[in-house]
Amino acid sequence: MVGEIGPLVRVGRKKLALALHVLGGIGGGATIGVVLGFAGLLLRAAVGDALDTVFAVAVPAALLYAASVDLGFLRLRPITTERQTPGSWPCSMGNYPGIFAWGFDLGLGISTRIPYQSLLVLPVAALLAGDLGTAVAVMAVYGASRALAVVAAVSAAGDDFAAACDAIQERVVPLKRLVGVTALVIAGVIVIS
Amino acid sequence: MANTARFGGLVALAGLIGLSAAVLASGVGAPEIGTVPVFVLVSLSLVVGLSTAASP
Repeated sequence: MVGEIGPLVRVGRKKLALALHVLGGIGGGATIGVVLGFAGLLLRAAVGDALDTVFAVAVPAALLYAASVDLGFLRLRPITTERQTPGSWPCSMGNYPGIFAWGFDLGLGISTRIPYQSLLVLPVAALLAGDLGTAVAVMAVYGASRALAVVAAVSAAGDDFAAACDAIQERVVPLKRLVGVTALVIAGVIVIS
Repeated sequence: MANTARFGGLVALAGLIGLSAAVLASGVGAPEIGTVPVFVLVSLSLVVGLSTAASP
């Protein structure tokens, strides 16, 4: 994304383009959060307080699975789609709408390639929380932070986007470990709380 | 140096958005799962989201 969006933001107003990307990320995350939140409310209406027990068991279990895969303890084929955000969108929609749409698509979280299995836990937790506000908060924050990470990388890259992509790729494994360890810690906190 | 500061500022902004969202969700909605799980899930969202810039 850094390699795609980096050269594009040189065409027009850089800050506007990056702000639209972040808005798109928040919008995408909030949208899937609303969908999952309403589905969670339906689940809560159907099963009642038993949903809290399901949450307390299923989410830590999912986090353990995700952390084990992300940390390399479990050699399973990761659950993911291979779809990527279409590179043609800025051409077909125009630069600014295309950049917004990229953010929206990435903010959905599950519509594009899933780099960390821990990411899968977010929609599961948002659904099982059975609470609209929690689901929107969890998914919107994901969309916002993912878009802000792209903005940070583009901003830090200067004009050398290829070097920025290389630098990010070199950090993929340490980042995967960081995400895995975070997932383990959060599983522990949820079990204890 | 300026790039590092900008990078740090954007990460801090993401943290602020996360904290605000968690406070709003746990304070206004009073979720059944409790406040702590909301905060830790939002933290996971932040870490996963910020770590995903490399993804297409």
